[in-house]
Amino acid sequence: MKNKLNKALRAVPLYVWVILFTVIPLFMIVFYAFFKVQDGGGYEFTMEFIQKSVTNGDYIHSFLISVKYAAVSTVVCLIVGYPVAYFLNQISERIRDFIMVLFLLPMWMNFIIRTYAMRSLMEKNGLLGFLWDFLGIKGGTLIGTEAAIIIGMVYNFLPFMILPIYTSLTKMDRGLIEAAQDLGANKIKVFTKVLLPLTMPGIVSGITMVFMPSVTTFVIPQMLNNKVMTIGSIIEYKFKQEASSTAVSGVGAALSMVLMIIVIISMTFVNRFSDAEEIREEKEKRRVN
Amino acid sequence: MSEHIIDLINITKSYGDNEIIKDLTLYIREHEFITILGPSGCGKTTLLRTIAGFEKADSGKVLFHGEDIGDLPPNKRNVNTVFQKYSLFPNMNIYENIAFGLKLKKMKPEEIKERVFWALDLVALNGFEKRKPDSLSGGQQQRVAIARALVNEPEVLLLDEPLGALDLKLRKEMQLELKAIQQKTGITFIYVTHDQEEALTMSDTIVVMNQGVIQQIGTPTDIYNEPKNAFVAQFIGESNLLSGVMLRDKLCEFCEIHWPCVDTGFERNEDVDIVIRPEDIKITEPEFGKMKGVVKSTIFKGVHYEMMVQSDLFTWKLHNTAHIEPGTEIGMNIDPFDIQIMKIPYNILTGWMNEDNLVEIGDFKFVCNATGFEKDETVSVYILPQDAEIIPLTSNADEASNVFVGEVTTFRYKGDDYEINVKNGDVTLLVHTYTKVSVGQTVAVYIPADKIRIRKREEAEAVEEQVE
Repeated sequence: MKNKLNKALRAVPLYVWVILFTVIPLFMIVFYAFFKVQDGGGYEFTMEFIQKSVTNGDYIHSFLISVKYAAVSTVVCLIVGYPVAYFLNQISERIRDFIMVLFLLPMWMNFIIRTYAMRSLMEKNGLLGFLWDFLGIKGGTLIGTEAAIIIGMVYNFLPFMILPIYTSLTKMDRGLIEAAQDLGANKIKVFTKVLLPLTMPGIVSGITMVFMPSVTTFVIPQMLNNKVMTIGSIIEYKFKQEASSTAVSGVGAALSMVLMIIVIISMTFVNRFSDAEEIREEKEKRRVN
Repeated sequence: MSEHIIDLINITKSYGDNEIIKDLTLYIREHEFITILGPSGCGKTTLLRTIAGFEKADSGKVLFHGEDIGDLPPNKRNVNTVFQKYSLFPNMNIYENIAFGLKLKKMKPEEIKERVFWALDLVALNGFEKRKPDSLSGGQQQRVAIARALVNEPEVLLLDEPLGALDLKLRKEMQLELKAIQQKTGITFIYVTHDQEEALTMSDTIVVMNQGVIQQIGTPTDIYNEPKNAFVAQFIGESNLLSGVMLRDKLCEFCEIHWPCVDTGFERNEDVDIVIRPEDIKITEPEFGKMKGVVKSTIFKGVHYEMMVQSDLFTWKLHNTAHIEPGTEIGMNIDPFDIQIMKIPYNILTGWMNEDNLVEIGDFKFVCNATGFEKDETVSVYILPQDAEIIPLTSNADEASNVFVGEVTTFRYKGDDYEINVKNGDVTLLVHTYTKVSVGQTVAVYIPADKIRIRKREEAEAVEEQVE
């Protein structure tokens, strides 16, 4: 009995944290999305904000391009990250630790400072800008292009793709690759039949961890492009704009909520997809037998 | 005699400076159950992986039905492996695991089904097809691994210590089953193990390996009864190993007693190694024994008692079915055909001729009687273990001529003297000595100039063949 109480007490800081920084803010967002401040004080229930967020053409457009950039960045991260993770798993521990530090070192720096650094690289006199010029693309600067957004996102979120895939590779018995080769699998078959299915959990969590922050980020598009309005930028703008007028942004809150719901639904779908694979296999087995 | 299915010719393999397989030649006949037996690190697994295609030999050839397959990747070789850690695919059920190889061959589903059920039947796992590997016991997983390999009907099945992780009872059952499967299917089995009992139980042929070199090839009976050298004798079964002298044909001496034996073909008074199996020592009343001893300890081992008996010069290990109290004095006799006599192996080292009559081995220089070599010519240096002598270690010993300084890595009492291995860098020297040393100690070994025999490389190989 005492033990149980003790255990419960130890969890208190966690509960306080979660309530203060997750539950209450979430509740506030939902609240401001549905309630409007009346002129004479007090709140009034309204569907106005929600309606605006889902019907306004600009918002929908912003949402779609955000999804596009996030999707492209996620795919690029996957294509770049998988071989890197595989390579990390192959090399000796000493070199691996060194490369890991190289990957993680920039992560210790502030996100905005990192993006600023990226920005100067992309400018006319920067390394990437120079390269851009060299390749014959007019303007001599990457800033303002769609490529800038993608590069910025990949640069910032790539480690979140590499690490989960790397972890799932280390958990895998290396003997399995040899076993597959031994049974007649060439390199492609080894990848599709053994490596890919066994690292699927890592891939899914990598996709989640890259896609989520990419779809909502506003710092990267603003600093590296500044032309495109992503959904993150609009939400930020709404809150900023109305923070000065003391009223809380109903539209901002509503947009956040809608975005959150869509992201949750799509992620559940992605997770289901990997489960579905198993369910489908299960069915196939039953048919075989 | 059936045809060779695999020929390994002059295979060498190193990892960095570490030579794992040293110029190994071996053939494997069709339909045989061959076991490569040796202590861990002897190169047996590397050899198996070379046949499977996971390792590429630094030099030498791997022939399969006479064709060089050295450059073929594992998936193109008609061999399958049963791995030590099973390596079943965790994302597939048993049926899919076994069908994996067949599906890759684009076989028809009905045919795959038939073959998989045949394989499941072979390893007595009917009804397990829908289970996942992690829901099976170690023994069952091992059977699946065997079925998964056999279902492809390879010409050769490679087994890498497949029973290592199983408990004793299960291991014994599986040994018999594996032998039965091999006889039923007629597939050539190449089995790697460090367990001598396993090797003796299952094999048609045993290859004993140590430090990358084949020590002996033979049937289980040959290997057990006629070990070719001290290593084989010690590694296979239990034994008493002593130093002795061959006085003349059919008469040897050890423990200061003359013993009639059955071996011939030695020089007069040649130093030899002698092996006597614990079960071959007959116990008598003290007055009837050629040798007397006092029982120091008796341990019950199930079928027999194992006792240690102290005679004047040696502590004997004996197996006996009757219980004898420690402290009892007994007599011991050994029949002539139970005394196994072995030639003492030469140290064969690689050296470089510095100038006439001066050879360099590792970091050390030795004066010798050798002329007619080119400068810096690589030669084989022959040194008998009993010709090397331990001398007091002085601070400048490593600069002195004809002195080898190194660390003692093994130490064994052989009745009369001690057999030790002295190692420095890549060079290991086997030394017989009366001086007692301990493992880890640094010692200086003096080798007289007239005891060092130098041969050209090619000549040396011819001589080795003759010895065989």
